[in-house]
Amino acid sequence: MSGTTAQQLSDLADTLTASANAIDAQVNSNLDPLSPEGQHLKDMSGHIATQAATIGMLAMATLQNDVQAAVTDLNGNIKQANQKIAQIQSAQKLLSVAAALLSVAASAATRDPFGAAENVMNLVNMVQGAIKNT
Amino acid sequence: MTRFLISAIALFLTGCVDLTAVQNFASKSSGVMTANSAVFSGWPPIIVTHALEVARTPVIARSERAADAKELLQLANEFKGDSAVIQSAAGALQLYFTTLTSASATGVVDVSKQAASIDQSLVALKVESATGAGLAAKGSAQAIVQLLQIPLDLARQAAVRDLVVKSDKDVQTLVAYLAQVAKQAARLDYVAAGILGKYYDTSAIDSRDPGVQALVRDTGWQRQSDAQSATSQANATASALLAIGKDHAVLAANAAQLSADVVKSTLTADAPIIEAALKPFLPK
Repeated sequence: MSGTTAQQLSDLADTLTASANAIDAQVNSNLDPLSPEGQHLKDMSGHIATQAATIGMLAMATLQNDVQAAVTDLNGNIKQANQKIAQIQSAQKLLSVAAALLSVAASAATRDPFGAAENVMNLVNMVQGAIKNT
Repeated sequence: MTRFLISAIALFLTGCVDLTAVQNFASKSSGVMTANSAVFSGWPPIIVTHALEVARTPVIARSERAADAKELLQLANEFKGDSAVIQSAAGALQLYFTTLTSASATGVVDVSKQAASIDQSLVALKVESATGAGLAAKGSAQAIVQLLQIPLDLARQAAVRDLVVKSDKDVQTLVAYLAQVAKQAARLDYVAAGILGKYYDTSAIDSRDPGVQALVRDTGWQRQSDAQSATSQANATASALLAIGKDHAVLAANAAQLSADVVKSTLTADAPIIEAALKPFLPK
């Protein structure tokens, strides 16, 4: 089996399983399953299915070598992504709150109305600053 | 300034990327993991337990299936021994797709009401007017607030892109492994069903009472039908996992354009395969 890939082992197991299925289907369709011939063929399909399961276990074992490293890597990526999502969500809240505050400020402003518009521009910097590390 | 606002709105519109297809894919993939979590952590199913019980009876011990029963016991123990790895892989993959769902769903916050309120106030203050230009133009505040959302949307896209590209190799490893786990569970089910079938068949043959014989045969057929359903659903789960891997590879290859047609069409085409695995593949 040296050099055999997990995919090849899996394909072989699938082929054997399909053969066992086909034999069982034939027995059930064309023979009395309890007849000596039927029982003999069902025993044969059972042996083939067992061989398929044995080969399938080898396929699993071949793939398993890389699983732990993948789990560790993936968990690290998930942690990083969750931090970024939290930053984006914080910036969204800031944008929402800042816009509401601006609305109040604009209503209150009487002497320097263009100052309210300037405040809008200041929001750009606030939001960009909040997410610059994302 | 008017040109600035028009450019800002145009930039906003081009900057926003529709990640709905990615979000749906991630959500369904997470659903497959949730639906099958009990399976990945609940080995062995009852059919294998029953097969191992009848394996100890003289009916099987003296039959042609004695060696198969012994092999099933060994394989089932090996499979059970891998359960910690299986659960770890399934758990990581589920968490990944939950995170991807969340990242792609972190949409642009709706501040249109607040922006409209700002404009209303600025018009009342005569800062904005229908004849004004630039910041004095009516609706300018709304345009600017929308402009604020561009960096947020770009950050969201970058987060999704980064996560998908960095994780693709690991996702491929885990879906390939779990697909094999699903197939293997089905194979062991099939062997177990065969041994149970042999037990019922031999019992039926040995019985001289036609009524008992009929009942035993009926029970055997029922078990065989259960095993076939389980095998079919396990294969559906394996196919779904492989489709998830294939779709994720397409996402990684097109990370710069996650709303591209090729991404949408691939995800849409494979959606039914993934949806077919939104229920557990083994009977309780």
